[in-house]
Amino acid sequence: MAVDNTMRQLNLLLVLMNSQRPLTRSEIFNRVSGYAPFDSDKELDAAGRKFERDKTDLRQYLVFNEVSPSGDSQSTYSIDLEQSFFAEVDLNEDELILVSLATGAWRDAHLGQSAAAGAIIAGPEYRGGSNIFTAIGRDERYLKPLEQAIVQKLIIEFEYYSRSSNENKVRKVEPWRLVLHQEHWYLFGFDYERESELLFRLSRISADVKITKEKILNPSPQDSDPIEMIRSFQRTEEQVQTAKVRVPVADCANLRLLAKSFEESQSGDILTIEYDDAFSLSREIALVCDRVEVLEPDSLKERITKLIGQVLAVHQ
Amino acid sequence: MAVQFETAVRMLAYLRANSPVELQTVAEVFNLKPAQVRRYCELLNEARIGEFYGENADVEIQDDEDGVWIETRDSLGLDKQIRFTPDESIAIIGGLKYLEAMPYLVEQKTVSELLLKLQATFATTESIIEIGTTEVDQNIVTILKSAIAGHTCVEITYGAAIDQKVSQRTIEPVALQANEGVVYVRAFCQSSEAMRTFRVDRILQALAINEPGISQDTVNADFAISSPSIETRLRMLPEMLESFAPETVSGVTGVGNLIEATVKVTNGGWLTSLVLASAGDIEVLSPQELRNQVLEKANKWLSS
Repeated sequence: MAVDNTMRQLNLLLVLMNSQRPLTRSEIFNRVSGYAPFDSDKELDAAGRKFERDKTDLRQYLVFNEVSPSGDSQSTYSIDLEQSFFAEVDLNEDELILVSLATGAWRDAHLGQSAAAGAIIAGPEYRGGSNIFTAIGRDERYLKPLEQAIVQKLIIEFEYYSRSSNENKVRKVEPWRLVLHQEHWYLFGFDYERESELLFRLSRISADVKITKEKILNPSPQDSDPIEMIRSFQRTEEQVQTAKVRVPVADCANLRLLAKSFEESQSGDILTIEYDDAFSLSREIALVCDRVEVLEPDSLKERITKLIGQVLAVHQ
Repeated sequence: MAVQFETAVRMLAYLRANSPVELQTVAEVFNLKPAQVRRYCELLNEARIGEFYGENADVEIQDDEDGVWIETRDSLGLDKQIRFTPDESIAIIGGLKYLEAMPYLVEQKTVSELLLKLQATFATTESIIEIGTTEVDQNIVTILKSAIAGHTCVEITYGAAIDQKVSQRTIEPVALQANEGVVYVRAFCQSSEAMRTFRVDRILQALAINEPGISQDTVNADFAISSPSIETRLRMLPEMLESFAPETVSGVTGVGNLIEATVKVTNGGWLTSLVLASAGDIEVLSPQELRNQVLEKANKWLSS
């Protein structure tokens, strides 16, 4: 009866695991179901091809020791059990719930499938073990190739939209880390054009990511904090500024959430907002521009007027 | 059905560690159908350590009145899990990093200790995923968690994102959800007499009320929002697509550096606000009524 590929690979693993010493290829062929018959050179070649394929497949999960002695002696094969298997993890109930939450969070198809392996640790009984639900990585098409390039430490190329020049340019990047901040995904890496570390917003990548065969030269800097880098980009003011805006009662919730304090007046509530990111604040005010009045400072008012002018320009 | 080597090896170690185990449980752990688990068990039962040695893994399926059970007496030494692949380690560690970034949701010390333990087990020293989360008032989260545990009510002052209106509501929280770093509370809203989902970072104030909830709803209630009904055609920078739920977007076409897309929204006022804050990065092509609303609101600002 023909032995299917998985069965043959499983048998190969069991034979190597249970052998007291490394085995030669011919010893493996004789012991493992699935390589025979090899009565002719043609069949022996076919068995050899199967063995090469099995080694390639199994190396994704196991550490093979392949020793090739000089002279006429045959190569020998064994499996490094310590490197291929991990010791049982001793987790308490709280930790099992956390593993279940963490692995159940992924909504990205690729990472979701990979995270499913965590269920082996947690088991199904801890699913829904708390009143907390988690979700992450929804439908982000570039997570998979970027993650693969980072793991393999390979340089990538992609077309990227530049807001400043309003054009797509090919960027060559050494990818280091994936960053999720304020519902946006970023790639943190070394940019060859700028010759420095840089963050790329994934939604500005305009064509498929190409993974090259070139290895990265710069290791991921452990002392860099990409989330702090994003925050610092967002700061437009050197010092914290104060704005005062008038809003209707029970309205403009987005500005109330930002307000440090408020006072009631006959024509509405006056909110005091401290800010160092005029860009974001002006957008928040623009959201409710038909019912808010900016009392101060003038610079913020001018910024919003410019922003609204850009909206008018594309709609008129 | 393609039988995978990795799944077969993982399953044999899992069966050995948990024997006897219900077939349905194995199906859930490995995300397989029961029939597929049976196929794997048959295959594993035939696995052997050598052509001339004859020993087989001993995996037996037993149907009895308590259900279908799998008993494993010998796994030929394969009783440890193979190491997770880099993809698997990254996904598991990344998921835990996500939780670690939300200390108000879960005990951060426990997550950090777990991360160290698993990173050592996986031989992974660093995570390639970093996560920053939306800031929320930890006192509000504490009140909500306490109400969930005690099945009591909370009075909230809430700012709706859709129209920025502020309202007072009494809610019965049943679950917290962290979605892409944003924390939501699922609750029965006594004001609207229905299950609702609220963004925790949009709760201006929360006051615990020691009254038991009246809702019969459970945490199993999903987090779905009402179906969008207004169809719009927009022209925008590609990155602005992130503003919309993927399932509401269709008909995307490229126009130079811009794209055009059909987007369904639940509230026209919300869309016009978004367009006004976009600094010209989103243009409403249709319906004309929404386009006019954008112009009207923009002109109101300029004339003020």
